[in-house]
Amino acid sequence: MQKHEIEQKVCEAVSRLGQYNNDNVELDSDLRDSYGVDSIVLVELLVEIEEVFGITFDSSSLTYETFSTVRSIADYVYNKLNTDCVGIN
Amino acid sequence: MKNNITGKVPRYFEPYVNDCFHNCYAAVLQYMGLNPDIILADYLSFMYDQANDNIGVNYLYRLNTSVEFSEEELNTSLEFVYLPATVNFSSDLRDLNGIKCKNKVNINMYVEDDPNVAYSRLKELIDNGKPVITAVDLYYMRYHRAYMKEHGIHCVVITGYDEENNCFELFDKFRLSSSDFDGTLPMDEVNQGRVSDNPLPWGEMNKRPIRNLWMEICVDEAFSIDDDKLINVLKESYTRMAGKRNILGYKCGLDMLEAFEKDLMLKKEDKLDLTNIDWTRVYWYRAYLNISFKNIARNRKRFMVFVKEIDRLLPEDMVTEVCNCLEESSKHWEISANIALKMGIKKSLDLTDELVKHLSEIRRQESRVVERFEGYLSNLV
Repeated sequence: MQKHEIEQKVCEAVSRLGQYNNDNVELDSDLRDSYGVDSIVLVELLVEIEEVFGITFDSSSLTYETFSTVRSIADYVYNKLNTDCVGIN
Repeated sequence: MKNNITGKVPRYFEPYVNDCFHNCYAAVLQYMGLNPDIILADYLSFMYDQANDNIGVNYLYRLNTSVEFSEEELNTSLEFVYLPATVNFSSDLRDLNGIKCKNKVNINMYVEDDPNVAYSRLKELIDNGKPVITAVDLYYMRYHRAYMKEHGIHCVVITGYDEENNCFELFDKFRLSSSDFDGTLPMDEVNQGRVSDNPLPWGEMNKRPIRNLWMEICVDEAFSIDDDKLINVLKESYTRMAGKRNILGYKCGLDMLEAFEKDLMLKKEDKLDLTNIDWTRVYWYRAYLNISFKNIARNRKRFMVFVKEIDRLLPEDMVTEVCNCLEESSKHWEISANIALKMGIKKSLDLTDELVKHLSEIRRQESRVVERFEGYLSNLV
């Protein structure tokens, strides 16, 4: 899957779950400050992304420090998908 | 009439503050020239009630249906604060300077079912230069996202009243619940929040009436903080973490954390079916553990700040190691909070092993803190 497709799907999820300013989700905007993604919504968001991409986030990564923007989530998903593919090959 | 002290009261917020009440206490303590990082430093501990699945730091987190607490319940956490039992303001016979315990900061909690009496006291306090820490139901706070949607007890600081324009001046800086307000609100709305029955979300019969609850902080001129009292915070924390003192009848400390881990594994082995609409069990992971773990994470951060505040009394290498351990522990409590939430959302116990792995790491880090305290305190004797 192309990186921009991942970014688009993550943006869509933020748009659905964010509490405000959901119309124009940007890659590098802070999820908490810009869209009201509090710690509870962040975990809901990550669970949804797990289901969309068929991946599992490492439990130690379930923090704002790791995932503060759409780009940070998309990068993680992209790397995870590629790492898993390499593992299978 | 109108009066205010709005410009003089610090708008306190720190991400490690205990709760919205303490956030207001801290603002008023700063206004009084006291350091909240010392005064509101609670002991390091962990409590677990195996019979009821409740956990906590220095008291057990559980559903309350009243805003009134006994003296024993209120005085388990803080070395420098004394909280008398909550009393009805009209029937309280204490001296209005409010000082019952001269060697501690006194936080007096009042309820009053007559709004006129509560309002008169509020005016009296502000006229005497004292900000008023008051409980409200967020349902009536128009600046909050819960406005007209969800009920819940919350705490704000009122710094002024204006009877010509029928408004209060107040602030609410508890950003952990998305509060960031500093301005005026209609008296009618705030007063509705103060007298709200505050129905709880689970069951129509459950409520936690606010009853105009407010807090007054008083301190005697003789109050002082000496090094012995500061060290006593470490001593008491060591005693609790080492399981050498029961609090409210419950054993505390690292052994109870281990017992909690084992019970989590037993729950997994019981193969509790969270998908079978076991609402109570799902709630326990998704809300109760999530919130409780976050509270504990903040306690570890707060204790770290306290240790740094008193670093002149402690060996440098001990301060460094203890703070590193507490920082790490706090991080794992946060992660545990998110894992518990994830388990609740997914209605699955599959992540139990992961959760227990983080709790075990917490126990390892906090054991090291206890060891350092033990070594340090044994050398003091």
